[in-house]
Amino acid sequence: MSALDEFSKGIIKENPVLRLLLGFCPTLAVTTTAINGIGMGVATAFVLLCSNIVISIISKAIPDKVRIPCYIVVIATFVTIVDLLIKAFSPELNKALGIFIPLIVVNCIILGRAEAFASKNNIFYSILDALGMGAGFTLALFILASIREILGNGTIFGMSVFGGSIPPVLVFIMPPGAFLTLGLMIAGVVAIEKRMEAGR
Amino acid sequence: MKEILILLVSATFVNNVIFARFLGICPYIGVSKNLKTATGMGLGVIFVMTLATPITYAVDHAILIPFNAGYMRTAMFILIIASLVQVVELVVKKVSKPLYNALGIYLPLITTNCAILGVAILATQGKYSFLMATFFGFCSALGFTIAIIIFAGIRGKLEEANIPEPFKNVPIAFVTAAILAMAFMGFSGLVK
Amino acid sequence: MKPVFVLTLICVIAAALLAGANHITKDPIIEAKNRLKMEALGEIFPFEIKNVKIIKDGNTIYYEIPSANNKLRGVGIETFTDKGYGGRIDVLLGVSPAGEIYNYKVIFSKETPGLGSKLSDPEFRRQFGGKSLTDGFKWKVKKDGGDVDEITAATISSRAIVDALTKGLNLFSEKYLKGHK
Repeated sequence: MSALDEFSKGIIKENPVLRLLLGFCPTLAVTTTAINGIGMGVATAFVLLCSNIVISIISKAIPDKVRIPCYIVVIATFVTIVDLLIKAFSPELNKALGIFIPLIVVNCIILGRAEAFASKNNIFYSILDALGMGAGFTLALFILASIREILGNGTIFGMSVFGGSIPPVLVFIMPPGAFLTLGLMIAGVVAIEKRMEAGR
Repeated sequence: MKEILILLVSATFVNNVIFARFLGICPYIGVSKNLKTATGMGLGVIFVMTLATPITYAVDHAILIPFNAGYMRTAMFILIIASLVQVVELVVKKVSKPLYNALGIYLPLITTNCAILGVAILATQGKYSFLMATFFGFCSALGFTIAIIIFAGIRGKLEEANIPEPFKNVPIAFVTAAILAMAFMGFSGLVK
Repeated sequence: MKPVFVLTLICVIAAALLAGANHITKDPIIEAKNRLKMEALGEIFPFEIKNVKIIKDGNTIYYEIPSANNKLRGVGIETFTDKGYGGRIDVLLGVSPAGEIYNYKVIFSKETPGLGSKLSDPEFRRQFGGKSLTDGFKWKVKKDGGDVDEITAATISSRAIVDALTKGLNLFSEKYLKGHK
């Protein structure tokens, strides 16, 4: 696959949330506002990028038996670094994302890409893979969070959309709304794919 | 006694790990297609979570806090959980073949179940005593199992229903989860 | 042997990196926490927040805000209640040296979205301005025979906030008004 393909696959065709069906927990939990969605997306993307790079470099030197624990240590290290950085430079984001920052370490996307891709490819492609997947993840979170914020709170990025005239549909800010919106988004993506295939 | 009852209701139903805290969604969606796999995963989670919570709590209080090493919490906890799962798998394999057949294959999956790590971290944040923290872990796992078994029952029935193409499998599962989440919201206010 | 060695080596390197990162971010993290607190105090008091003295007394934290000539101008108190509909509600309460409320800010709550969040509405908070424990204001919701105008359909949340505010006022009066009520 060309370099551009390696990067772009993570955004749409193999979008980690909507196509690969990975990383649901943070996707549902933090997408109450668009800013939170983007914050989580970027934090996760950063960890994914760092871990993909390191794992791509050291994977050959790691005996197969301790492969997973080693990957976990590497990922946990970057997650902690991101956690400390967020606490230091954006305590607001820290409060909003809460427990889901340390939970990035068990985000199946990161371990998944480490296993499936970074451990078997060179640094350059691993970087592209991470950037693409990270961008795709952030995009999915942003869309989901925007829908939930606009419908459930009447705002986007904190700014009022309907001018307070239309009362928001609160259920979207709450758990049922999260499940429902994500389900509809995934169904939507499948429907679009089927239509594109039929048209071919 | 009252405290125990409140914790039981709160951790299992009111703050259900799946429907209120959004933890453990991946296995919830992935393993709930039939009742048998759901029960296996649920039991595995109860097993691991009830063991992991007191261990991580103890490490947190005995090592991390005294040495001001709170920043090591994430790394230490996930390593403890991963090792624990390995050990549990070995022990179950040796001790009880039928038990291993029932939940053995789910054990490695449980390592990346964010519910285990999530509950472990929550147990250290909640100002619980050692015993209450363990109970918290158990109740949370119980809530997960109840949720996944109900879910599997519904999904089993959905398999026979006529579902539009794009919704088949995961999307309809999410819509079902949305309705269940709404039902569980009815539990809030129960603890007064 | 090699697998264990590799894993241990990686753990050691990771631990070193984390200790380093922790060292670098320690101070910025404390500063960030303080910044949030100061911003919250700024939202509560109508005057400038400078040179705040932070006092920890038992489980409660007090923020003493001095005026230009170093007299006490206002005190922020971290108070809470467990009687919220969703459990604990953390409140930052701002009072004058005489124990009259300036304002308060809900720091943490798990109340019903849309209803419980009305606890932060300016219209709701306004009724507490200037009130204290000693001016005859009846610290109960109207439903319970008091003077507090509760939020429609959020009586429990309203009762909870009254609990948190009176707790805070009592803490303040015990510490600063020497137990006089």
